Amino acid sequence: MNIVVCVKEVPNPTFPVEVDIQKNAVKSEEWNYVINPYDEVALEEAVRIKEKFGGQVTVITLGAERAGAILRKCLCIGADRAILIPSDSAFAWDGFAIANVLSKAISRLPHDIVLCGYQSIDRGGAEVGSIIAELLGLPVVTAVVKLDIAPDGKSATVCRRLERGARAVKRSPLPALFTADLMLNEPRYPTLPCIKWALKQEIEKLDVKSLGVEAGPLTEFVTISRPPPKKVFIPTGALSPAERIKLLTGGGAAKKSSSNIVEGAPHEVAKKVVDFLAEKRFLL
Amino acid sequence: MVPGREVYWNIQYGQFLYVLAAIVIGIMVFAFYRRVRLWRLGRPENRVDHLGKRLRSFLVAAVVDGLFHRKFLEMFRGVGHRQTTSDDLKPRDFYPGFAHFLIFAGLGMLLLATFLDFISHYFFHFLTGGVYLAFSVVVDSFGILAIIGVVLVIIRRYGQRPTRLDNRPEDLVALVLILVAVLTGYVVEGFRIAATELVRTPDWAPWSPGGYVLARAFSGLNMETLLGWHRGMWWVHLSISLGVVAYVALSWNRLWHIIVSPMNYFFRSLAPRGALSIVDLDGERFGAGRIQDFTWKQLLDLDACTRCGRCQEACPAYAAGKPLNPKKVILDLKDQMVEEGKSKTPTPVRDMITERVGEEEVWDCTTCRACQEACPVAIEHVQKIVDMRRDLVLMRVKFSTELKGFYKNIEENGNPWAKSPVSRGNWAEGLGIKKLGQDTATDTLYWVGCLAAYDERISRIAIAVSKLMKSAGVDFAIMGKEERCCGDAVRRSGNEYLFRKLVDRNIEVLKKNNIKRIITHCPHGYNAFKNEYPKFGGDFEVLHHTQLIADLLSKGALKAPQKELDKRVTFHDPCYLARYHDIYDAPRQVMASIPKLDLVEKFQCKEKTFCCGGGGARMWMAESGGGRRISEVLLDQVKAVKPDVLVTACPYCMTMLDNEVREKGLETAIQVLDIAELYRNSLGE
Ligand code: SF4
Ligand code: SF4
Repeated sequence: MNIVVCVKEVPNPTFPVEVDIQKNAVKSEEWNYVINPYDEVALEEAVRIKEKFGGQVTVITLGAERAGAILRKCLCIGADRAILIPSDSAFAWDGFAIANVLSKAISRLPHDIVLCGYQSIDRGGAEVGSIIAELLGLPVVTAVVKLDIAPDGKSATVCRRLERGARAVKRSPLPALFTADLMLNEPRYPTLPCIKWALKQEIEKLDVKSLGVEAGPLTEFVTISRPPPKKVFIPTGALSPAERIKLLTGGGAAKKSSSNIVEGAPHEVAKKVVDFLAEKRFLL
Repeated sequence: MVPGREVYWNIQYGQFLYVLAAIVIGIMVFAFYRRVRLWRLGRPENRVDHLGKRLRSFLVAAVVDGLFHRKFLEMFRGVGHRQTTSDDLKPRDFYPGFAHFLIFAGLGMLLLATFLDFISHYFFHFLTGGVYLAFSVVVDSFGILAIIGVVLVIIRRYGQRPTRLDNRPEDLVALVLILVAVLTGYVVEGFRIAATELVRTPDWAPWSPGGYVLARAFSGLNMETLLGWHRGMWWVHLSISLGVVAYVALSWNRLWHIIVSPMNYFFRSLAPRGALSIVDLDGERFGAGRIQDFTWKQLLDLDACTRCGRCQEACPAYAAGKPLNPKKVILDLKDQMVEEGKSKTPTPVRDMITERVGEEEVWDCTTCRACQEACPVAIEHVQKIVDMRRDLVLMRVKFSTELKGFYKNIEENGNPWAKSPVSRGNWAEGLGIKKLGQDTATDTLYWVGCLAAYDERISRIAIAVSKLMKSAGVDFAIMGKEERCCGDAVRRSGNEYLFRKLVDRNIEVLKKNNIKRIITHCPHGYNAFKNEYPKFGGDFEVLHHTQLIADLLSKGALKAPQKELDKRVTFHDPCYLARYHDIYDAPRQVMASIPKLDLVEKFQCKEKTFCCGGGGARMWMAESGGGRRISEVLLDQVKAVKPDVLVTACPYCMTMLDNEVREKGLETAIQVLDIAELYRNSLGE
């Protein structure tokens, strides 16, 4: 089972990123970039499939030279090959231009499955995966939360996320392209032997020109405007650490004014929660 | 006639004893060699460095233990003070210490007597006349002391049954064997005295009090019977004594501790207490996942354990009802070593961590070092536990999701939270504090640490420290957004690789800025810079803020507090300050400078302090299943002395205690303060 995973470097979401409106880009800070979390999930899934069925996992990215760093992380997690298509302007391209280059590169690689992240957390276009599938003529299922490969390796049964917790189950022949939702799995932390192996690997480079594509966006960037600032809850020392964490993870101090709050004895509450989950078809 | 005793009196073929003794010694050597082979399953490690120092402290320990015994030292020193003679000598509790002393001294004297008899018989005939009588009375009485000691131990083990002792058959066997060997000795002596001294020179007899009593009992028998019994019992005593030694040797009975424990003390670690071993990142295996991954000395540790249970009694995790028991960790590893030594297969019969010690146990440890402080034979628990964590993290990637987030955040943001490194210096805004890179005209750095940089409660400590340093005219700077995690918790949780990346990066930045001196309010950072960074080329003068404040106060650079406090105060000694670095006088000096501060010490203070539960990366993991929170147990100790103010000197202790106090709804009754805050509050400004 040969799998190609498309990954992208994105600005570290915890940094207060400053956008350079003139250049349509973020201002670069020290170690400001991480793997797009959706792509990391896609890679983890690819490695798990490889561990079960054998084969090779290739990661591929289109971006600046420094993106070699995230490719190396992919090798740590379990990719066998890493390919960088260097481009200093790709960050400003639209989804089609990116997919166009990537699909040409993928078409040269053996692939039974192509995996992408559902979207990138910087631009959030959620389109590159689908366009690649279109250009390669592959079936595509997006926002996959469960991926089962048939024992004969000829088809895949996938579960995709719909609105409000609903799930759709689909079956697709292989080769196919899937885009991974964050709920698909929990990416692993690499072992030290894997890290050491990855540090010794070479990152292959592929020239955009050699792919024979006319690279460039179809659409044109005009401007970015800022929304009005949002009020953010700040934890104070008057609260206990436990409360602070609760508030931070809860997203704010205000109590939710929803009718969905269930109260009562623990076993009653538990029953209501299970009923609710069943009704909304969270429990399959 | 001159008092004396004929060796081999009434005995034929007595010299056969030497043949038997030679055989028994052979057996001992063989048994010992078998054990050496087990220890050699481990990796090499140099523990014969500083031979002079090792020898000297070994002899000090031997003399102190042998002649005075540690227990008696404790009587001469204030409770809770580390003694100065030898770093690792630990006082013991009175009862078991006293009983052990009686047995040790008694058997030691009997052995010495046999040796002196031998010398006197074959070389210098000095055991005659008054010397003989004196010798006789001393040796005889020590034998009686040994018997009393054994009885005391039996009462303790089988009558009192303290929880820290687990009784195994070998314990009873050892005690009974000692008793039988000594008692038969007295019986032999009794028959001899009844047949000789009582008849010919009755006034010598009481000089052997033990034998004398028995001799009086035997004295009615006729000479023929006495001689026969004497001869018989002589051989019985001889074979039992030698048999005991042979049996003990072959069964690897606990009595081997007589040899192995002192050995272990000799080879003990001379490294600073807070320095963990360095993982060879170029190697193949990292940490300890099987017994062969430990070093020979770590395996020797396992055999040196006397199962005394002091570590178990001292362990905060055990006290809180967690699965971890440091004594059991050592004994489990010992079982693993024995099994691996026998096993012919290359893979372990049972997995050392998951099937023997237990994963939960490995993660429960706060690395507080209370176990090592309590262990009388210098066993190193913390390093073993960290080695097993290293295997779980670096080789198997088996750890909790919280730790995964913790590592990821540190890798991506340089702090344990998903917070931006850019905002790291925000707490200092408006305080007029220098930042490295902007104005680097100082070689003194105030290391703020992750907690103070982002947690508002802990930031207040940093604000108090910087204000007092400014008022004392200390020229310092902070790193601001250049600062990253120091790596203490990362290393103690087993992630040596990430730790090394942090160390290399931090040392590079510190050196680039010509930093010579580091001041920190965090005992964990203090330990990292003092004991761990030097191994990687980062040598700095390191000061904890308690030391700095005490020093500045004594020099008069800091204003002496004016405002009367008029409150009961207790101090919680952080493990990494008190137990790791012997810093417990400095905070007390600071408190003493505050007028009308009523200091009450907790039940466990100074180097016996009870951990807050946050060290060893525990604060970043979820509370493990079972038992209470460690901080809950600590708060019970605090509540017992009814303080108005609870003072500490560590951001971890502060977080854990602050949380616990709130959890129990005591925030109005007990105020939790850092020593720097306490000082600033009493300035009356
Ligand atoms: S270091 Fe502390 S927590 Fe860990 S085993 Fe020893 S006493 Fe227990
Ligand atoms: S490790 Fe030390 S303190 Fe613990 S039981 Fe063994 S000898 Fe006693």
